[in-house]
Amino acid sequence: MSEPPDEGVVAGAREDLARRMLVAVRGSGEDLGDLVHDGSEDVLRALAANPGLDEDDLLQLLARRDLPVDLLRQVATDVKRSGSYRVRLALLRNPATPASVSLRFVSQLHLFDLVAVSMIPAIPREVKTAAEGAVLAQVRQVPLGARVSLARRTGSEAILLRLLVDHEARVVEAALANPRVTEATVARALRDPMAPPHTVDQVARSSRWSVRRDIRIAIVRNRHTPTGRALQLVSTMTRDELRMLSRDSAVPAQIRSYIVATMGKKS
Amino acid sequence: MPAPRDVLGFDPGDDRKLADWATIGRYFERLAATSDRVRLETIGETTLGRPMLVATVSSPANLARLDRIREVQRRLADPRTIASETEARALEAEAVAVVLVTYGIHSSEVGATLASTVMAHRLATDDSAATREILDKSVVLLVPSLNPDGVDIVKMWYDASIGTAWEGEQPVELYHHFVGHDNNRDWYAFTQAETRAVVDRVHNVWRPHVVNDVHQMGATGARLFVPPYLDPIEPNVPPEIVAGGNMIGQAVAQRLTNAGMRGVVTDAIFDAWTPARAYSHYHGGIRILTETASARIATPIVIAPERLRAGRGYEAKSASGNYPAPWPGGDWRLRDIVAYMTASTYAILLTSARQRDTLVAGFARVGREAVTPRAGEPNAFLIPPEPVLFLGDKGAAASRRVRDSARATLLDALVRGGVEVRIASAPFVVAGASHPAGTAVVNFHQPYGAFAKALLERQTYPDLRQFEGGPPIPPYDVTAHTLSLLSGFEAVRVDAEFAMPPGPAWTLSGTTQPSQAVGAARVGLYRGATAPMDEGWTRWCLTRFGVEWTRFDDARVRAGDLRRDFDTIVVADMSAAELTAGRLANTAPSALTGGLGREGADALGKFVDDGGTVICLNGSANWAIDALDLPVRNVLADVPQTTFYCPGAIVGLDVVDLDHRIAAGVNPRTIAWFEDGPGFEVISDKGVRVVARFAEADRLRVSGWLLGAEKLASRPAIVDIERGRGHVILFAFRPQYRGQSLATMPLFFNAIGDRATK
Ligand SMILES: [Zn+2]
Repeated sequence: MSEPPDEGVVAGAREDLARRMLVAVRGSGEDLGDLVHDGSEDVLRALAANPGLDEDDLLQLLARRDLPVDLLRQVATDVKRSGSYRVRLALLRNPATPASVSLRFVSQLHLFDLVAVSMIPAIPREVKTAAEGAVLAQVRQVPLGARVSLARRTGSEAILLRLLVDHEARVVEAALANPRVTEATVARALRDPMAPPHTVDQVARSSRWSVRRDIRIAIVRNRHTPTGRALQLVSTMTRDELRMLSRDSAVPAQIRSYIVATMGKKS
Repeated sequence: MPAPRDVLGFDPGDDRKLADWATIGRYFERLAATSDRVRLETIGETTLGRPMLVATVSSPANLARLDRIREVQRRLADPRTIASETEARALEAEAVAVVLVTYGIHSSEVGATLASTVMAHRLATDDSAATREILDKSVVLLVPSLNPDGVDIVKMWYDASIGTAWEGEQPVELYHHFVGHDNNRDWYAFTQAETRAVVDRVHNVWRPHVVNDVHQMGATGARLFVPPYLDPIEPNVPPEIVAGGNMIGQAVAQRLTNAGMRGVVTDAIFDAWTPARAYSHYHGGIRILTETASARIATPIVIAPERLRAGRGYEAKSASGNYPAPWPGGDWRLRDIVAYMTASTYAILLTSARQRDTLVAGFARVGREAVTPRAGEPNAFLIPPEPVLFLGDKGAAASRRVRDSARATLLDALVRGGVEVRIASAPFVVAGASHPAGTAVVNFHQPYGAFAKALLERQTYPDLRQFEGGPPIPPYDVTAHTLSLLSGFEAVRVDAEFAMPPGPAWTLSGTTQPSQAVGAARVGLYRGATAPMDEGWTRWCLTRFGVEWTRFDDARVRAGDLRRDFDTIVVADMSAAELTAGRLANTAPSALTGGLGREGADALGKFVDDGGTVICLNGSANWAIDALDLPVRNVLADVPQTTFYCPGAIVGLDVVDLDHRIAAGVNPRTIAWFEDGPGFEVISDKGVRVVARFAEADRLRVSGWLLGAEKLASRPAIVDIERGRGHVILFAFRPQYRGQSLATMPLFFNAIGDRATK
């Protein structure tokens, strides 16, 4: 059994809390910085409301994952605070920030911050979707180097689909190497009528993708596929696959005739 | 040190063996990793996203000071950066020979890329005195392929052909995704990714003294061509370059002949008229084209002696001054090709190393001459801010895009070619004429002024005949390259002295990115079974200016109901025979042979009757006249070349039906690219609108070679013919010529039309 807390200790704690509250409300400078890691929500609320808290300290505070929602809301509605880009970003990155607050800021974020936000696992679904939408809307204006990094990093299927048909081959290469890209996404990209020739070619050359059944079929169907490649793929296909392709109007008509001829020989 | 077979799995030259691009790249990587004579660099990406490579090969001592070697090249190329005669001499003494070897631009000429591995291995491993001399006195740049996509396209096709009736036949598709063999016609317009990468990252960085461009030619004549070239030589090519090329070519011919390699020809087949194949000719570098006889891709052939044929400038069966050791015929295989290529390139490298002093002196002199004014030379060229050949902002969305990008496209081409272009920031006066702010000013007396001049002046091709009054001697390629006119601008040559107006330098705008789709009509692009290059150029232009397209083949035509899928069908430049017969039997799987035939013609006729529009470009108009039974005829069909001849030139074009939608946004007096096109006569006016005519005889020839102007003068050049509920639009010229003729591209895009207007 543990001993009950000593009266003096309790009083001391109360006194300490009162002292920290006082600092949080009235204090300034480095004294406030020390309170960023405080364990009391009341202290943190007071701290966040103190105009003397400097922005770097506020950002440290907002990085905490255990903040009360009302504190986050309070910072967001304080125009002096939320006027700062870094503060808005910190709010968005905090999974506890309510979607209604975050959504107001999404459209103002720089592309890379949007990407980062869209990849935080715990943020609300609707915020993630909005961030992805904003990324997609901007993607054409994004410089090449940034599109390449985006292609490497994003986890969004919608963004990957767009980058897999980017007009720069380097972007497509990066997207194909993204560990989050799936066979279904690649096959969908190949079915996009706007898919550029280098997408088709890079998929066909890739040892990771070119062996997958759906993708091989998508390659034969694609209008950019070199004939020699189509002939080789056809020669490795099963009768069922050939039968399906021979009836598929997306396959170039001559390749379909070739498939029909091949099937004749195989039977 | 890895030999090619260690990575490729076979010896380059083995029958029926090709390597894919990834394997070629791996070989060079392994060589660079193990040899202190070889460095490898990626210089960009191809159209389909493959890496483009250059290997730098030299002695370790030279490799340790590549920056300095490039700096010496840069300064010798631009004497404005050299303070004194003494400094110039010091730089010349310090320079090493810089030799660039470019392989395999034409991917079905498969020996070249394989030979690059043999050459790299030899230079990396050989310790003979000759090879040491090459390494000590030069920097050798090897580009294993100028068209890596094609390496794979051809290999996939060829591998599929082995053991079939069509083994060794040419691919059914272009080996450059867009432009096929015309990728070697792009060295001044720089429309393709591969051209840009090599110009930006190799030519303009190294300014090589010598460029060996490794090709293959036909199988039934000489075994190897090396310069001298046939006449004509384009007048802006400096004489030092011509003389240097003659010297090296003859040295190669002598070495190979001494080694018992028969069949080397000089002064034959190839001329040096067009800058489209010869970037180095305008950039201080000697271009040594080597062309080795072909086999059937990688399949050996036998040429019986009686099948040997005469070529331009020599007779293959008998010895002559320019063909001293005729090849007697017999077996010819990939191993022979690789051997001739390797021997000739090695001879070029050795000659260049041993002639370092004269090469450098010639290079330095070309630079000095370029910046030194001489009597009779222009002082500058002025390019107005607005393209004179466009008018207003009317026309289809893609046409407006063409017009909006024309200036940047032209100025980018000049700047990419090393030309300094200034944009006047205020109006200025030259010889009494005033020029607005925004005028682009090109001082002729700059290192690459001659490149600018070649593209901004009109060409006068010499009247070369087989005998006096006889048929013309055809040029190897086309005869005009006035890029300013093709882009819609009339450049002004100024000979008078004037104060160059102040203003910023033009920098590359990068307008070659494909754009977002413009919402044009549903366009079907007919894919001929013979893989015509003009289909590729058309596809490139549509893509470049954002017109969505669907390509369809003969089998799709025969399936009928084309109207379901398309509003407009474009048939690019092909001959009537090519369209009708298509690809011959046994040259591909049977599903891929044949052509439109009667059945295809009927299907296209029905498409028109159902309200569709068929647009036929140049030669395909001849097909349409018969196949679609149109009330026009080609009056040039049976005219002999002594009466009318135009193998590719810029002519005057008058747009006469200004109310027609095709005419929107185009100056009524413009130009067109004419190249063996038809000359129309309208037999019955009913339902026929003549939208444009060729200019009258005295205004017809604008740039290039044209014989018998009166035969074509004033003839209809664009006709719109009603048939059923639809239209057939015939162009008697190439409105999208090689992606360069922006001036007439709006006529083509207007003919296609926007979706809303349909
Ligand atoms: Zn060639």
